[in-house]
Amino acid sequence: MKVGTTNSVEYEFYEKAGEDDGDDFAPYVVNRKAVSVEGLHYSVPLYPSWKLGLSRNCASRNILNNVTLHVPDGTLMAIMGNSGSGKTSLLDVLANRAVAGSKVKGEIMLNGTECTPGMMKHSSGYVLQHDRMLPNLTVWETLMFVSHFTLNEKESSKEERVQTVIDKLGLSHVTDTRVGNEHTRGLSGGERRRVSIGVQLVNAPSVLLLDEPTTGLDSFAAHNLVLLLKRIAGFGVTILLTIHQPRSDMFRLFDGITILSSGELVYSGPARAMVQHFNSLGYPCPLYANPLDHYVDLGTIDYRSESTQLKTSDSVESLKKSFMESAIHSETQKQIQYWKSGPRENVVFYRTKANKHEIMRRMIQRLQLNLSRDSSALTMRLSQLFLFGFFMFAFFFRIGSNQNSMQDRVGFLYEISCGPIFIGMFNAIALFPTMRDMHYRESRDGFYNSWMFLCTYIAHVVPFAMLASVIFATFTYWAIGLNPQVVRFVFFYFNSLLLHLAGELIGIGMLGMIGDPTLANSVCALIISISCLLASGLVRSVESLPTFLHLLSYLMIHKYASELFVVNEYSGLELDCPQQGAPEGEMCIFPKGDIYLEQYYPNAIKNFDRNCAVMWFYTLALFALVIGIFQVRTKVLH
Amino acid sequence: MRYERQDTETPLEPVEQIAEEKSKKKVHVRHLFYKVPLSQQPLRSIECSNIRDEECKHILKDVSLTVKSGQMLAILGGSGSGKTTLLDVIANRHEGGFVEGEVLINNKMRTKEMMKEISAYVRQDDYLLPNLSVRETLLFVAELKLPSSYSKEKKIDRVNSVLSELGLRHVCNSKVGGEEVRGCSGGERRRVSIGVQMLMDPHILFLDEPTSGLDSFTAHHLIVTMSELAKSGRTVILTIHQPRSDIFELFDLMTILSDGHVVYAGQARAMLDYFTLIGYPCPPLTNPCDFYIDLTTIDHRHKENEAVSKERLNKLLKLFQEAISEVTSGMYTTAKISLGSSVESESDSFSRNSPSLTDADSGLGITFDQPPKGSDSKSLINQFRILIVRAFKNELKGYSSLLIQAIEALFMSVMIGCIFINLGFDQISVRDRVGLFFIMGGLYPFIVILDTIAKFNAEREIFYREMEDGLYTTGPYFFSKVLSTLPFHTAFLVLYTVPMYWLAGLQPKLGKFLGNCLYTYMAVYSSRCMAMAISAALTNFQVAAFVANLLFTVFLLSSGFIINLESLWLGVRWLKWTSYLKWSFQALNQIEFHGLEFSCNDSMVQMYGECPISNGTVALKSYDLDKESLGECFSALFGIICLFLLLSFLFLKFVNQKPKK
Repeated sequence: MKVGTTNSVEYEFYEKAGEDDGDDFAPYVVNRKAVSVEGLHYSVPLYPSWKLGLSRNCASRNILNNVTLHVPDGTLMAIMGNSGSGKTSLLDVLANRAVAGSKVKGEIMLNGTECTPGMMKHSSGYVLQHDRMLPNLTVWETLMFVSHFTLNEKESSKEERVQTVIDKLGLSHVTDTRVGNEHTRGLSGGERRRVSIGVQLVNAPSVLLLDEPTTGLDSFAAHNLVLLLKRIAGFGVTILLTIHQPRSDMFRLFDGITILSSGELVYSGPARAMVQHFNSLGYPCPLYANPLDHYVDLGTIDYRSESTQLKTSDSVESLKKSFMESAIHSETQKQIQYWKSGPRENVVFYRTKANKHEIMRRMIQRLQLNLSRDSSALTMRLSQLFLFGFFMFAFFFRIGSNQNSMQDRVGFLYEISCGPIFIGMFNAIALFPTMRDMHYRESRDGFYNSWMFLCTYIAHVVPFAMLASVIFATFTYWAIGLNPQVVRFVFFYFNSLLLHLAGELIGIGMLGMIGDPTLANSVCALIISISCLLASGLVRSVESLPTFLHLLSYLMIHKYASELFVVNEYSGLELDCPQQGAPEGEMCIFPKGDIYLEQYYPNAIKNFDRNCAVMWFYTLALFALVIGIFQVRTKVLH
Repeated sequence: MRYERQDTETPLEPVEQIAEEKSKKKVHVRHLFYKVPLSQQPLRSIECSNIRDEECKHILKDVSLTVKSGQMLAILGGSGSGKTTLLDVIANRHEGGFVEGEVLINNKMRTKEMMKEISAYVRQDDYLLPNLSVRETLLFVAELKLPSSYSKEKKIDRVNSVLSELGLRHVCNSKVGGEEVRGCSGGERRRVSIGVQMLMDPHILFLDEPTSGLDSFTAHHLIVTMSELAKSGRTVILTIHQPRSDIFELFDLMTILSDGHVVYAGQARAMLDYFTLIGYPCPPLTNPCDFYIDLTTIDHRHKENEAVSKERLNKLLKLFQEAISEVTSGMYTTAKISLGSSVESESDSFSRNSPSLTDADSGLGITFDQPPKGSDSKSLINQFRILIVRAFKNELKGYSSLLIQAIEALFMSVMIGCIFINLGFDQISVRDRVGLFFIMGGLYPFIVILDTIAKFNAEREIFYREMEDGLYTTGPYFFSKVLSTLPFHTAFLVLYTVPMYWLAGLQPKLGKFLGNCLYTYMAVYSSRCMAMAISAALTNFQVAAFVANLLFTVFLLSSGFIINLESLWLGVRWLKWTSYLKWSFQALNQIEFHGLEFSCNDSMVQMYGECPISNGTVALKSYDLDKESLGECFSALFGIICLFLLLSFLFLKFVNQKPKK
């Protein structure tokens, strides 16, 4: 079956968007590279690496089996296959992002030279399936910050580059629109995906890898995106993309097509030769059917029943075998041999990166910009503590000085030592995940390290925490009427500030260990609750705890925080006693605050200075712990 | 260019003769317009006709089509083209809009009751209890929906025949499954959803996007089944988004909508010829559905593209109108558009002026008598009985969730018990005891509240859909829900109280222990009822959780530990009467402290002259916890529980439970 001649009317409406304005990609020099893969095997261990030490079971699963393909420079290759066929793994291996503990065999070559890890990193860009960018930055800002992180050039040349990328991506009409995400209004899905591609294009990679770029886009947007990729390939960039259920109109846009079935090739070669190839094998595509769907289905084993499984797996095997014997496959091998034996002028662009100080300065600037535009996050950061204080005020009103007020003070201090830390934790759980996901991507792209990210993140949080705590502490302290000395107020302020920051750090650390924010929230809440109960001594006295629990309480921040709060409030406090002749049963248990301290916190006054120091060290230690968690985490990820 | 397919194998209406004449249905849509008001004014929505046109959004514009028993009609179109709306309007399930034009069933205007009897509607998502088996799911619906005159065996027979008709026999005993529970595959679950609707043996089956979320094999297989259902004499109408070419081949009739207009309506196999004839042939190696949907969709992205595509759409609409008038020469029966290739000659018996029409009226009724109405008490009790059995089954089979809740209760209990381990009898231990009772009421009930809201929210979808399908009414559901949770609640409570009581070393007297259990039980149960009332009142999970959290905190603050109840300032002092935590806190303290003696060390005796808190009564007095008696606490708690339960029922009945997306 030959593709028949058709009149031109039908194509008119597809090719509309394909026209090119023709001007050259001036400041944008692409170092053209052909990508070849020869005899690639890839297997991952069945058990995660940390379990291996225990079980000694080194079983592994083959993901890719003898994959050989060649993508000439400046062409667009689509990798297809049903789910589980190894599409994404192929991209991962190409991008040098294989799973830890996995085995890779075979050669990956750029212009016929075997790739070193650094070589691929410096000459390729990887666009992940999910767009992970700061929602409140504009397109221009997003790309400019990427250029600040990756390029060591003059400001004007960066701007020129970014402008070129924006023009080429067809985003000039939304240059100053916010990127947005599911919760924030901004770009459409297709436009946001383009910005994700732009992030990788800023430093002019030779190879662009994309994992399912059309997933989640409607048919128009998907079509336009592939058209765009085709155009980018035209500038000399070699593009490989995986795609799931592509529509038939995309068929015409791909230069090369690879179909995988359970890790082996069913087809890999020019798109134009594909229909012919399957026809010659006796599997013609119906005239009005989508050949991409049709051939992917051909290469899929139908597991629904035993009989269909047997039937389909036989035919899939024969398809794989006949492809390996086909002319197309030997042509691919010839191409690879040609490149291997050809002249080896392999210039790898090792870009000089901006220095660390500059990068960190830009990171803080970016976080501040994002936060300043996010009104709900701003309100959250600034008002939550105050609202909590106001809520307390509504109940306590003004604390008196009678005997009942003793109970009220204890209750109040309990609330004050639990509130700020919880609020800090909630802030982290609500606002940090977006940053974290972006950080994971950017650290894999090699923009910066975890500790740089965490330092800048904390640096942008601290001013807000300080401001929010000032408002909260000032209002609460004086409205409710605690011990009216300015020095005591200052201690109160720093104590609640440090608790607030500790909460934020606990939240961040937990999010580094647990991916799901809801689960992280529950675990944090449990830890903080136990700390409040066990170590504060405001509900259960620490002194009468059994030894083990008593020792445990020294690990918890509330041990120190509550002693500070209590001494701050009670030492030197005078309380009223019922007058002589008061009704029967009125007692005077605590004429002085110091008596309370003596009973419940016998060493608190003595340890005041120590507790102050511990509070600072505790917060710093938490910060160090968080950095440690993220260093390990990103190492495992890479 | 000829489009050849199965012409010889599948005659269009093979079982027409077999099917009983009276169950033949013809759905005929004539000049249908549909508009919804732009501004949200739920009360005025019915009067959209009075609102000026500019204030309305027109969704369907002059839609006409015909589909008969034995045919499967697919409604195609881009997103926002009005596919689902058209399906809803035909099935009489639209909400808040205004319909112009006619939808006729056998030439009679369709009414809500009529549609309920002869048709079934399968929604896009599956709303099924995940822990029941496929057979149990169908049997449950059969018991509620099939007339009570049916014997048990007859109902089982019906379930079996639906199971085999949909090819579900091999999985009939496996769990339905869901997002968190392993069970059937996505395609099988979709079939169960269809099976639920097939139990009543509907003449017309509506399906909204049945293939979305399914992989290509499963989707194809599902549509094959639907096409078989149609061939057995039913009418199948479905919407579909981006069908693959192998699915396209299975449709009998097709309607392409764009922006509410019909661009094509007629035989699916004639579509290619029609578009080729009017100058838009489909390129080879292209999925025709994709191609023609794109061709007819208005591209809103760019101004210029919009103008071009609008113009093209108008041209297509005009061409289609011409084609219709050519073929039918004045008679509006678009289903007969076959454009030269295969003109249908029969079906005149259905034409509007045929005398046989009036006879068809009597044939509208379903083969068995009316489904049970919810009003008489016998069927209410029956509903309750079936619902409570199902609720227990679902709970017990989902034992992993029960296990988690049990571990939660036990963990909380042991944790609190360890923190308050072996309370002594010195002065400090007084405060520690009071603190223990405060934490008992403050920690676990809070978790129960969040769990209850989350669970209720997860079930709301199913409850709402089943109510909409008329399976049962609010009353039986509410009581089955309350009663089915009680035993589990009691078990968790035992796990929560026992370890804590002994670890903390509270008074080892049976009476005291039982009293402690009773009041803890009531406090936790009040929390559960409050959570139920709140989540029945507020359908948004986040809002409900926030409100519950806030109320709980208020109750906790006014319980009498954090602030002495005497020092609550006047503005919030009344809260202590409503706070169930105050009543339980007070009761728990009274039970424990009565009969306790407390010691002092020497320095304290020296300072005060005597031991300030020498026994439990003084301790209670010092915390002002002796104001009301135990009996009063009990009645207050009991009243509060009843109030919350009543509120839950009322909210469930009168607040629209439609889940928010």
